[in-house]
Amino acid sequence: MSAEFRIGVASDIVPAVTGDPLPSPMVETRHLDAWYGEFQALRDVDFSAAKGRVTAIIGPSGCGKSTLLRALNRMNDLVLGYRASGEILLDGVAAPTDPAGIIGLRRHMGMLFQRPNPFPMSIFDNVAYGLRIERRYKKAELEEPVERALARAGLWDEVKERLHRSALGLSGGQQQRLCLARSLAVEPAVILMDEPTAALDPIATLKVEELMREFRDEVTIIIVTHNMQQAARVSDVTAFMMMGAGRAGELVEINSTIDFFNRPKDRRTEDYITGRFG
Amino acid sequence: MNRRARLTNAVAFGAVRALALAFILLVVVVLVFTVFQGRTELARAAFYTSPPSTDRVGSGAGPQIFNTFYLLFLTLILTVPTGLAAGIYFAEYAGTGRVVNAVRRATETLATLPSIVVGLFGYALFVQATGSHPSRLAAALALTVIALPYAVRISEDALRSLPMTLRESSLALGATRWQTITRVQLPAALPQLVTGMILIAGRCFGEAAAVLFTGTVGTPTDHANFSLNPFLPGDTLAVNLYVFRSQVDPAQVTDAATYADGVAALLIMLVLVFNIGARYAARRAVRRLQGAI
Amino acid sequence: MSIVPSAIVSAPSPWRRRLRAERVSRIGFAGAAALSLVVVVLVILFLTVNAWPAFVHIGIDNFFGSATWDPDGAVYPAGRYGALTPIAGSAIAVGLALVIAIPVGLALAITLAETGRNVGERVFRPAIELFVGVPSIVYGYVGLVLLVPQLEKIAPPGTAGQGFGAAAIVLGVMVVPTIATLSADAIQSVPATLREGSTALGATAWQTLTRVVFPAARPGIISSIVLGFARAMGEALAVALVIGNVARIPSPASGLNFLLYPTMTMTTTITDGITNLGANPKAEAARYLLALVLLLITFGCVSAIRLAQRRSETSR
Repeated sequence: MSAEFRIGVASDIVPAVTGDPLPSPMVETRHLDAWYGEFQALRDVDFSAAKGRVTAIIGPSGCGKSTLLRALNRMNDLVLGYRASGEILLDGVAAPTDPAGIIGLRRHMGMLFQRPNPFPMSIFDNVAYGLRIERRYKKAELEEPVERALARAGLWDEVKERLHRSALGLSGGQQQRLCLARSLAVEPAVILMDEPTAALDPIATLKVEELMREFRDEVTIIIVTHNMQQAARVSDVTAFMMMGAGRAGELVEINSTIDFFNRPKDRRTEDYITGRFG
Repeated sequence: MNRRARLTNAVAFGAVRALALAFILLVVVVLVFTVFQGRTELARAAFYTSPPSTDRVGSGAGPQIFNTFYLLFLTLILTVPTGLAAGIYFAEYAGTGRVVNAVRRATETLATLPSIVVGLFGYALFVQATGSHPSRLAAALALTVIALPYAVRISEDALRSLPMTLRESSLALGATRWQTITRVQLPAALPQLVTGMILIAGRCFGEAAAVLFTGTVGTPTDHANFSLNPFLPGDTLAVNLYVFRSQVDPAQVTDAATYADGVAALLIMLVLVFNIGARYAARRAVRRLQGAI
Repeated sequence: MSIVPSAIVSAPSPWRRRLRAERVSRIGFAGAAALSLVVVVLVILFLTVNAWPAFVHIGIDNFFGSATWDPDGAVYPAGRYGALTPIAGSAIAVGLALVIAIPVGLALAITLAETGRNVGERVFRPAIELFVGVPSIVYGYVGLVLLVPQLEKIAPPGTAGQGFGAAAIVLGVMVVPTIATLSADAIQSVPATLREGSTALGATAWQTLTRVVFPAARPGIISSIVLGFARAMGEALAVALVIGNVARIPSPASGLNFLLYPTMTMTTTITDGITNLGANPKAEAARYLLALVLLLITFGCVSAIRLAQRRSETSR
């Protein structure tokens, strides 16, 4: 692997949209490799996501975007034949690798999926789920954090009358915001989003995007999207991945979103964002 | 050429549909006939309460009805938790190694094993080797051997049919796999599980060969008379249907044929109830989950 | 910022405690799964141990090399244990049953899978699922009270209408739903694009079915037939009611009467021993050996199904 593939490492990141300097990284990977059986899915990925900012990962399908995202909270460990090497750092410290530590790690990294997937229980129970698995609560103790999480996800007013009815009765957009509230209830440091609006209509998409901007400084968001406009709209930093030799995913460039789209450093980035391939 | 192809098409599909329809009609007629044949027994109150006897007056299938459901109860208590746990293992943890493959193969073998072989095995292990006598517990254990592979498959399928992201969402909140399985996956799979288990129950209560070898000592009056003691022997409706049509001497038991008619009719009615029950339970559970209730 | 990473890195104690429960539950799940393997091993063990006297006192050559089955010494005082008669009986009865069940089962499967969603799924499928649930002993009973008296009218004098004919019909009807539902599943899982591709080339529905859909669904259809075969082979009591249970295979030269003379199968031979378990150790061992043969047939069926399915995976 030649050095030119590692153009944008964390230290290269220049000031973001606001012109403020980027905060220090919340999540970093160093020389991350990942395999599904014999197939190498990620090769030597040095990724970084700044604290309290939105980092978008874009790239053609099959380039390892989701694998990278799911490597961060060790969700891929469940996949048969998956293994990874390299380092994952959280706020500059090596992420835990023991079973208890991994559960703790996931506890602090929320996750949102392509299709909204509320649990088959009431709206209230969905949001309270993350709290209840940590320890026993009295129902009254839960009311405040549940309301707060729903309010942060912009859903409280829509559902406050029907908290104890099944979450599966909500619309798709509402369900996705409920899933967001479910993550927020446990006050995560990071939220990982895997094409969170791919199954939503434009209005619901807009709502979710607005929410992402509202969490600035509070939550670090890493979003995988196939939609370049979305990356440009919501993110402070954009990372571009591509399949390299042997179809292994590589990180081509990571840069502040403004520079990324206006002054791409790598030819392949430029080709991609101008639509010459992908 | 084209015309010939179209003619073949019409004739072939016509024949296929006619054959299919004829078969369905045949079986429906047979089932209706059986219920019709047993109508006088089904209409008699004593049929549901009295034990079988050698003359028609006052005889019935009461203890056998009780034994049928009692055995079903014992079997499900043994089968459902074990089958569920094994299904969870296959759906959630199992890899593709040699041991797992052997276990999968064993489960498939059990599902295909003739019930008469299970009966003989059950007799050898639960009755002979334990120095015991036929009992309803031994019969329930034999029925468990028959039902277990179905319960495993139903549980595994039910869990596998759930979207992967459901369990991942739970794990992403810091839940352990145990918490994820018990609090999210099992409730979500409940409609399929309930339907499947009801159908398994339907299979068990009609099973005769395995119970014949393990549960009864072969006399028609051997029915434990509503006792709850699992160590007592006892026969079921299905076993009685066989015994009264094959081993009982019609000269001694004058109502044997009539009694069998009643039992066959009752079995068919119960199959109907199980089937409709399974469908109803599934529909209700789905609606509850989707928030309509 | 809501967390300090040290909270992540030093995992809090409740999770550590829960992980112990995690390990225990995992072992429990694995144990439950392994139970099937334990049971199969026990089945092999107990059948073999109980069949052992047959190996010693009857001999494999006598068992598989003779057609004279006379366990209780009705004709031969020492008893004869030639298993060829029950084995041939099973093969003939099941073979005839499949001759009935395969065409009818496939016709039902086609109707189920290719008829419009409403009729197929709302009428045919529930009906067939109901038939699967009917206890096999009921099929045997109906055969005995409805079919056998009709056959008796054309049967040779001194016989009651029980025999291969009645057994094949009862087994065939019993097995049709198994073949139909599983084959219909296989047909339905053939990708629609394959079907559309053929139709777009101007093929009729029948041509598409026989030349495109059937070949694609073949592994599933074969599996369904093997399962039907296994079910027919293993059915005991329903057959016992209608086959007459006489230790003789009718002469093939007897024409139609071949189907009407009473005879026996492996399962009915085992069933026949229920009344005197423990009375005649040699006969009992011979019956365990028959059960062992049925077990081997089951292994064969499972392997056949696995093979069919593996072929389909590699060919895709």
